[in-house]
Amino acid sequence: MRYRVGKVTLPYLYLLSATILLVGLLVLPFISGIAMSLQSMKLSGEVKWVGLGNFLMLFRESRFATDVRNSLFYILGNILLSTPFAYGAALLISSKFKQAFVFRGIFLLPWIIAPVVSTVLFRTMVDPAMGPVAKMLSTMAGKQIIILSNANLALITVIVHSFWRSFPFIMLFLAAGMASIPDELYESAVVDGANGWKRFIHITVPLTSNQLGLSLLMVTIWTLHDAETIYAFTQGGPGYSTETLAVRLFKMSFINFDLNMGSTIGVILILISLVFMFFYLKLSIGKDMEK
Amino acid sequence: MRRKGVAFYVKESLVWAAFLLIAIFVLFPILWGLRTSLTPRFDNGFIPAKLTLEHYSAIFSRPEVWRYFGNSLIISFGTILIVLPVSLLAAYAIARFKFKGSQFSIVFLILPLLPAIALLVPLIAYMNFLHLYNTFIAVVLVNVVFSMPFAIWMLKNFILANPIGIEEAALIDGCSRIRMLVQIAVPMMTPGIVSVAVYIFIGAWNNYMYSFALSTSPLRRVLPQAILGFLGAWGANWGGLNAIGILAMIPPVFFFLLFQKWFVAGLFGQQLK
Amino acid sequence: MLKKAIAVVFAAAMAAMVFAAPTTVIKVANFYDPMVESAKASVDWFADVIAQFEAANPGVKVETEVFQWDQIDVKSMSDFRAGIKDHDVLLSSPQLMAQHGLVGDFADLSNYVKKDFSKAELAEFSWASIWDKGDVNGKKLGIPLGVHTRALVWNKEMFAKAGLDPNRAPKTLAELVTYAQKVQKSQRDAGNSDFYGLGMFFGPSRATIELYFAPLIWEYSGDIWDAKTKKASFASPAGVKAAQFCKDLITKYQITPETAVTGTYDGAILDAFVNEKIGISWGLGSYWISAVQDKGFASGVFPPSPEGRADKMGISLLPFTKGATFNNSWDVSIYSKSEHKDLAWKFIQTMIKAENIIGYPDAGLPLRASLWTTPAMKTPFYNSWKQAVSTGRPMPPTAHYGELADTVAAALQQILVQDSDIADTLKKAQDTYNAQYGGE
Repeated sequence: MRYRVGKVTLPYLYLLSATILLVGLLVLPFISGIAMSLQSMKLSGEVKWVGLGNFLMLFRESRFATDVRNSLFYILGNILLSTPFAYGAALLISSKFKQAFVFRGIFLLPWIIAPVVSTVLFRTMVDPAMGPVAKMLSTMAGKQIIILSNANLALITVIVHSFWRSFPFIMLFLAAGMASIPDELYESAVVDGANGWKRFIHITVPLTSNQLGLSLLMVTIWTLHDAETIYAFTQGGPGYSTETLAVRLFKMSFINFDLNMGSTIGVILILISLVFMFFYLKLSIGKDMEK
Repeated sequence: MRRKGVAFYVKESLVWAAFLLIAIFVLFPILWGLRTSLTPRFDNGFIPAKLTLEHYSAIFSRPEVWRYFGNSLIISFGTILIVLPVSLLAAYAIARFKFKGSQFSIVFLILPLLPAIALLVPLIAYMNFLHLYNTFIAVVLVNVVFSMPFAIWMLKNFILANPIGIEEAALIDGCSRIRMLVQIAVPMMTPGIVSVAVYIFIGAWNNYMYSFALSTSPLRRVLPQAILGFLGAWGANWGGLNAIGILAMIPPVFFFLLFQKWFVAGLFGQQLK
Repeated sequence: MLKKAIAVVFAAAMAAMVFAAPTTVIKVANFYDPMVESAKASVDWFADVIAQFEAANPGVKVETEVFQWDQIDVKSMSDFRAGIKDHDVLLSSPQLMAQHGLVGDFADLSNYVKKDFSKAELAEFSWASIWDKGDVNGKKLGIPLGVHTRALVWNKEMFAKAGLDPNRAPKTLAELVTYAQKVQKSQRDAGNSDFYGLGMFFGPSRATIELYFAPLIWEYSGDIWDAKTKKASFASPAGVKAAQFCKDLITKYQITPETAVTGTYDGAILDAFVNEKIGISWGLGSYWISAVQDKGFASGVFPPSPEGRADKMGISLLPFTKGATFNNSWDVSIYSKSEHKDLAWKFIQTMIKAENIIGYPDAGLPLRASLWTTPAMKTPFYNSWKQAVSTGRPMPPTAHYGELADTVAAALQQILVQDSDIADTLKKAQDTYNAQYGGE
């Protein structure tokens, strides 16, 4: 419920500080970034407008195709692994069990740890000399396996790490959604003869779809933008097999000093993010209308 | 009282098993890291021959570590200090006021989902223009901008959960809106504010990118930067790397566990008595 | 009474602030992190030089800035572009000088050199080809602090055990392979099961092309970048042969471990050698002389002494008939937007004083000619290194060296790890690179 405002300018005043920060530190750099992506700067500092030239150059590269593909795999792998796991964990912590509270704290740990730290933890586990995961794989395969220098295994490692970090977040949202589902719905379903699985599919899932959508949106976007963990794992290697768009941006802007191409990839990332946000909004508005 | 049947015990143990499985999945990397941080340098066995604190003492004996911790604290608390008032005002406006353009308030939540990494390059030039390059303020401001959406959203939920009657009563009594906010609304939302603060702290503490891009002096380095730097330089010294990783984990985990109940309730606007 | 006391103290403090001698602060940027053990010696060295400088220049304080070695040049360039003035002295890489030259973030030191280097002093430096590798278009953008070169080293005891003459170096690539195979067999038969004959490094790092790929392509009469056409040329037949050789080491002869494509350069080349996990190490850097001494492979060589010898370790040039090893240095430069250029130059002069520079652990081999004439530097041990210095080559002077290095390293990794077709992979990478950066 909202009540009317006496003075008209008051709400705008309240929003002023937030707006200044957003415009100054988000919108303006955003516009600069777009401008930079349309330019090409010679090392000497001379700036030249090339329109979509940078974009075209990227699209023709096979490396760029690999970057896009890796980004998609990274996101899909993360979401597909996280969602069922998150549902399972959410069901557990929403149950009436007294242990749920303690476990909930534990389950949220991966999300609270710094990405750099969790990268160190995982790299330790896959280290060929002393990592348990590496040793286990080597024993199963019969020969020494260097996980991070195998293109497929490296990508899998990065995805598993990301899923380990992300699922608690989704779990939390889902649990909140589940908490607001009235018990009567479940009880009447039991009366109607629905078993656990059916109850899950027909009641729990639809009624938590909002939370699932929002949390997946955020996880998707974080995963899309994540450069630091992959860089810390493999620097995008071996070859380009773990290089995602974000890693490419990081390398271009901060290692190779090609700021314009870096901005070009930045604009591409922004566009992809907007596409995801648009789909989410469309789906959630559609749902609201259904309701 | 009916005796609990076998079915009940089977179900209960299955649930326990599920809890434990997930807990193991979550805890294994962390516990392995802990084990590695306590293992002497060249011991590769599954169970280390002996436990040692050599890595931790090596870290603590370096004065720079305290500086990195300190810098991380400064940035984290600086961010909280700025985000809370700004977000509170904005959240209040969105929650309580009906005004032209209020549907655009969704922009506040959407914009910061844009890739910070893409915006960092122009930001460097901006910060320099404002003479803020290589200062804590620059990093704090960027942290602020990117943690605002969640903060605004969480605070909005808390405000909406406050009974509006009390606020109206205060206003009718002649209380100025700001006074009402500070003396009535905020105290009612203490769990919410604390949980927002914890969330912001965790985000700022764990952040690597902004400090990496916006400050050059090692005097301003934060913990994640230091760790990433060591990853390159310490190579195979997993003991040391894990030790400093574990140390870096302690503050966020500590605060989180302390305020866990409020934090979770806060995410979803549930009123906590 | 108290109020009076406070007022007096306050006034005194104000007076002190107003009349205190103003301090100028200059910044020196390097990549020696005090928290990293292996950098400790260099950190201490800088601390000494700074102390000397501050003592000789009262009123000036020096602040150190630490970056990672592969980010320091980019930080300088991007800060320059952003208009930041806050750097003075910086360490730099000559491989990136062409890029620095175009960006303009380093000051031209030729006038300083003309003014402050006597003829004798100039002769001290100019004998070495590395002296003008910091020059771009006649502007001197960096002063080298030493010479880094690399050599082939082998474990003498292991050679003897394998029936090889411990003092004889392999002279060709073919011999290298044979020797490595023999040593590997002898060690593995003795139970050292994860031992490999030859240590190489093919990780995602500049080191890969500088120390491994480029020297090989030179041996096969090619180059990674053609200075005439200003285009990358690593996909030539020479390049294909070089890549094939690298691949064969791992897959065909199996004398190099697969871990060569990952991990760190130090780990694969230095640590593995001193921990006796490899018998021959290719590309051991002159900056690791103190490290091998610490592990007992040599004695009396750091600091150099007339009794210096390497009893456990054999050194020689890389087994090339036509090729060369890679030489470079760490250079020191002055930021072009610095507001304290004269002071910065004074600091540099302090750094390169003979008595100081000889102790700089990361310098590698001394640059000053006079330092090579002492008995300590005339031992057989150092003679081998001197030979490596004189035959070494630098990287091609392309302004996009960083990207070139990464592209070639990535292509090589694809070849080694993903088993892709060599000629095809190299060609694709070369075309991509030239499309973006050809001509600079």
